[in-house]
Amino acid sequence: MDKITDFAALRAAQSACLRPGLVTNCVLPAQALRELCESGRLFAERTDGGLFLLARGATDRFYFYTTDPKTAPRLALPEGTVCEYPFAGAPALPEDWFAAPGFCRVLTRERRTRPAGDAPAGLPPCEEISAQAALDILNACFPRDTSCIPSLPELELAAAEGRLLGAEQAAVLHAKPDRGAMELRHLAVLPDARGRGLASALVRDFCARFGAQTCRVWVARDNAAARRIYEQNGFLPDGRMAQVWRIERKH
Amino acid sequence: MEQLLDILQQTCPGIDFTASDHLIDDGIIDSLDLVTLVTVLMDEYDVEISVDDLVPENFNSVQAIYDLIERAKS
Repeated sequence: MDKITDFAALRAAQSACLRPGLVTNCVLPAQALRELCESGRLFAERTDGGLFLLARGATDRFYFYTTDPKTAPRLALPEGTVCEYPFAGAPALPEDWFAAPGFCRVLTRERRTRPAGDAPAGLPPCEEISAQAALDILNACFPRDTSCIPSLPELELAAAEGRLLGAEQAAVLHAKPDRGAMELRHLAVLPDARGRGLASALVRDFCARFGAQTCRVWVARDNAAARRIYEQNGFLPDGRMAQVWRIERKH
Repeated sequence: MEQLLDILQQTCPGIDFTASDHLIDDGIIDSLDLVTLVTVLMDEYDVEISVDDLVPENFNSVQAIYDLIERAKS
């Protein structure tokens, strides 16, 4: 893949991909792409099958614009490269499209939406938790490359705005507004503190605080415990899904 | 404009395009919907739209989308 230095040429290449049948996972805003370009961290390859981007960083990320889902990309990508593929309903890209360059599926997420309106009342407030303590719990519970762990300043802002909820200093819930809805971004319980209902309590408190508006959460499809808690609190699948893939070298 | 609304509704059946004048800002249309919409509109109206046009101002309302297409035609 070639390093991109000409941002205008990149935009033209992206525009050329805007054709019926386009499948893409690239939701990076123009500014983010420009910064990647200017810092020499953006690589691209154009083939008959489409346009492929690699954004290098602490985690390398793969983005695609494909107009020909039957043609799998033949690319050499660094080990550990992550690709997130969001879709509605059923995936337009088959598994072997990802397998060809060496991606293995890490997990599949489903999005659940809780319609605005019903906020359970009369619950005791959950404790506050410091941004640093929250970050420590998140780092202990989630892999860094596939979890979008927020920065400390982001968590400090969340704490200041009442969007960071804690339970017994061993569990944390981080919420973030996202275009007209409140998203439950992270829910984590330290291993030693599991099985005591802390996650349930945090989700109930989240609904009490934010339930008057539309709420959303992304949950791993194989996380039965979390899905049960969300279902009990009125979060229902809305059809949006996302597959998370990662390049693994076979040894 | 009505023809445009029909096309929008057929392309993204779950979305109420008349619900708001802030379709993007309010998350009624998200980035996945936007890509699908744009490729269909380009085909239907035989116009070129560039990625630089994929900004909230151009898609926040049916009127804005209509204006974008009119500009792209000229």
